[in-house]
Amino acid sequence: MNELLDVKELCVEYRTSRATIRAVKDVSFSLAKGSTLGLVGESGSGKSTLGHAIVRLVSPPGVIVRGRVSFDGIDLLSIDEDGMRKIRGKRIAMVFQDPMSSLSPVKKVGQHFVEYIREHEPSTSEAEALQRAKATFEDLGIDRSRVDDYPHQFSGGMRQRVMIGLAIALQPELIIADEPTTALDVVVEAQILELLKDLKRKYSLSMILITHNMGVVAETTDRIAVMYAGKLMEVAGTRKLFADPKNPYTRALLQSIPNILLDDQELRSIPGSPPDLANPPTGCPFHPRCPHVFDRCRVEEPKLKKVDGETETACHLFG
Amino acid sequence: MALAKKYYPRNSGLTPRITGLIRSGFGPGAGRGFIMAGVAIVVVISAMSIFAPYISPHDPTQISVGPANSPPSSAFPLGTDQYGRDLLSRTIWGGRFILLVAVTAVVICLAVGVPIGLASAYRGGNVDRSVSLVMDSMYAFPSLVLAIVIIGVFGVNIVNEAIALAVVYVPSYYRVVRSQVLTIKELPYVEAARSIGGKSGHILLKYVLPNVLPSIVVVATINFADSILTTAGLDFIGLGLPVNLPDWGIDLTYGRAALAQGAWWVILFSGLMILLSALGFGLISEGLSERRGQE
Amino acid sequence: MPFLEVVDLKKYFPVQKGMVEQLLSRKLTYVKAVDGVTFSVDKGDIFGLVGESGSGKTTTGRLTVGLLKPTSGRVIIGGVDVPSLNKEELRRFRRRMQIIFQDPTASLNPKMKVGDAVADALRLLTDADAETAKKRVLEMFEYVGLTPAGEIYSRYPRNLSGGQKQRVVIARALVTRPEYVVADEPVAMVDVSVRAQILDVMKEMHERLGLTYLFITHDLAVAKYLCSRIAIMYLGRFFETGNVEDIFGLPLHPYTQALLAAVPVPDPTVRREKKIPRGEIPNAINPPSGCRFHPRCPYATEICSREEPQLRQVDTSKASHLVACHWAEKFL
Repeated sequence: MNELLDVKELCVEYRTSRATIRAVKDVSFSLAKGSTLGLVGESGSGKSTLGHAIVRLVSPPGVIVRGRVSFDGIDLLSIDEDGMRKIRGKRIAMVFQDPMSSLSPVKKVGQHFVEYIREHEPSTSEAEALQRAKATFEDLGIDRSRVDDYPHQFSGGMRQRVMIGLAIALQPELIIADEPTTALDVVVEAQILELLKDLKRKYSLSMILITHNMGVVAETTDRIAVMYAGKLMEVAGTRKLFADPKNPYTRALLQSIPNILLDDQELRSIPGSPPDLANPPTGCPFHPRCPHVFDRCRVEEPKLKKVDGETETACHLFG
Repeated sequence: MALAKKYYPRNSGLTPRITGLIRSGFGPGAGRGFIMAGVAIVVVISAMSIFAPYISPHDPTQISVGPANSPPSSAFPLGTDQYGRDLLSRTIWGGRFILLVAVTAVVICLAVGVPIGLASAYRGGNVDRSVSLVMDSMYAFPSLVLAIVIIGVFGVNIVNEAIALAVVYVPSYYRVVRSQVLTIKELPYVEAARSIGGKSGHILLKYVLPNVLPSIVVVATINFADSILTTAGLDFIGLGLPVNLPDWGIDLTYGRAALAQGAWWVILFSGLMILLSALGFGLISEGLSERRGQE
Repeated sequence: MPFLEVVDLKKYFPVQKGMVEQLLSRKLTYVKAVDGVTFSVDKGDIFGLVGESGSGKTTTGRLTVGLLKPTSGRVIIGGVDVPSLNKEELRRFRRRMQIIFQDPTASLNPKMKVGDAVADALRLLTDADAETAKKRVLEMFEYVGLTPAGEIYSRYPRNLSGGQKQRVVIARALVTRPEYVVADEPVAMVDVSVRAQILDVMKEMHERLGLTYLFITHDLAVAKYLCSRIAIMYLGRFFETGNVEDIFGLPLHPYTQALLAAVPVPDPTVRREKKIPRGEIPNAINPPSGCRFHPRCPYATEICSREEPQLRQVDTSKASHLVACHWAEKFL
């Protein structure tokens, strides 16, 4: 089995006094070792919740209702918190969108590294940990002397590099990056994506890249999972997805995005807007906006199934 | 039913406004329990005070209605004080002036503190800085002391009591309004209002004030609670009302004397009522704060 | 016929300093958000102002609609010198120039019905009475696709989706039938699947009302789709201006080239040579000497750090394509 990560029927709900929101509905997918999976979706799609759920970082009122997250044979949802803590950081690392809120402003950046390394590998001395931090900085393209700087002294792009550095400091096997470049300018985004590619190669990392940007996944991923209103709509190899998208949502999305390399592009807009998760549509969540909708779509939720080689999609058009 | 729908359009008018208001206060969500408890207390106490002449069994100022210092009994459920006055009647009547003074003080504060806060904060610059200086100095004064000084200078009566309280509390309103306005005036929708040709007055009235209102309500309710306590305190030391009127604060004074004579009930019930009414408003304020925190 | 003319526009913001610093230092430092930009937009054109954060594009947009007063330079709209208008004249002139904001949620008053919010523009800037205003608002709602218009009129922003809110913002900007509209990143905060809708609405209204747009964005793909001419902005200055076909077809400034290469393209079959400049945008308080891009430019030489290049025509066949680079010729 080449699958590093195998998620089966994962369900996450947000339970408030007003409503129960099903943020992640019966999501199943797998990630092969050494590959990069792009998790794509808009706001409310559940992609970020899914990323957090995999490492059990869902906080109340969010609740992982059921499912199985198998990482290298271990079911992450059934081990205790201690066991999970050993995996988090050491074997699975997360990179978040906003680097500022993850770094304590009163600690030097080098200190962050040292504490982080020593928490997971207590036998490491401070000096050793600092050396490793400096070495990581080199990998990141940051001057070694900057281990003595504070987070606010770094620019947005540099801070994100530091976060990525922390993520790889313990040489994890899997990195989950949640919108790592969304808040960054285009040029810095390109730098960070290049960096991720390099690190992936150098350390044989597997990666889940969560984003809403189709351009980013086109350039950096091997496989793509498309989410909409908490549901997986399509999973396919990157090239296949763009060349021959099966799900109407994927197709509509791709036709509505401007492509800088095309001249005289005809954009086709999708009517309506993503649903309110407190009051989701019946049946298929995309049906109110789907150009191919028919009766069955309004009542029955389609299940994800293999339709063509490696492509899986959830759509009644495919029986 | 269809006819009613035709003549009662749902989307405009007073009805949806009132329903909306009720729902925002009592609907499901954080703070609901507090708000409901607080409102219940306030409504009961207000009703009691308003309808006092009709529900009070005896004249509260009438002495020797019963034996002096008699403990709670079936004839006098709350007992009598050292002058033989019925405590139940005194307790029913005792909130009137306190509430009246508190309401007046709050109304004056709203009429004075809110506009000044709005104008000063929106204008900014040296005007804002000067006004804040004045308000902050007033705010720094311990409330009771300042009230005492004002009453001492201008005379002991209900009007002056209300004014003294208003003077003491206006800075709180000013500060809350100002801090809200400072934030709101930088928000995009205020800039948008300017871009569609809004003048300062119009912007303050239609765009800023409605968004400051929720915090005004919070400060007013907590301030009400404070006013009640301060008024009772002033009455207690004799700087509020003429001594012969029925009042919980005054009853505390009587209560102290009665306590020395062994009658514990005189001070108990008046003290309890003061706390309860302050609590009522406090609960409403807390509930509203929680509600806003939730949003 | 140029409808909007901007001449050597500058906006410097004084830097807030702590009290001690203020006492110790003698001169004021400024953030040079806009440091001398010159351009003109013909009537009916869609001119794109493209740049990353700190480029000064948003500030420039706001300067042209009088929401900010320039430190120096001129802004002329339809022959009127906007910064020289007094308060009331400027207020009344707003009927002719409007701005569409970036954040649909934050730019709508949460305590106002959206219909009333849009009607407010008419009541403030025209002499329409309440009834007429309401009618015009409903009509505008139909144009921008907010239906059923009557029902949406009485809704509050919190009961609308992001796309609907942005349509309200557009309606509010266009209801007084302005001639000039600044669109400040109008789709940046809108869901991806809804962006095309909003762009469609803007395109349609542009044709229907004969508007002149200044379109501010960091998204080159959107700029290419919508605009006829663009300017590439960096640290308060223009690096390159020209027709969209010219700039995207043959970018002559190294920064433009870097931008175009950096934009992720939704097509996995394309493999591009990415020459990504190192470093990040420096701060606008102390821009680099000479050419502002020289510390990051792969082609920088000695002259680039000494002398700031001016916008000039490089390709003799394209009079409108201007580049501010000492070495632009080598890319022809």
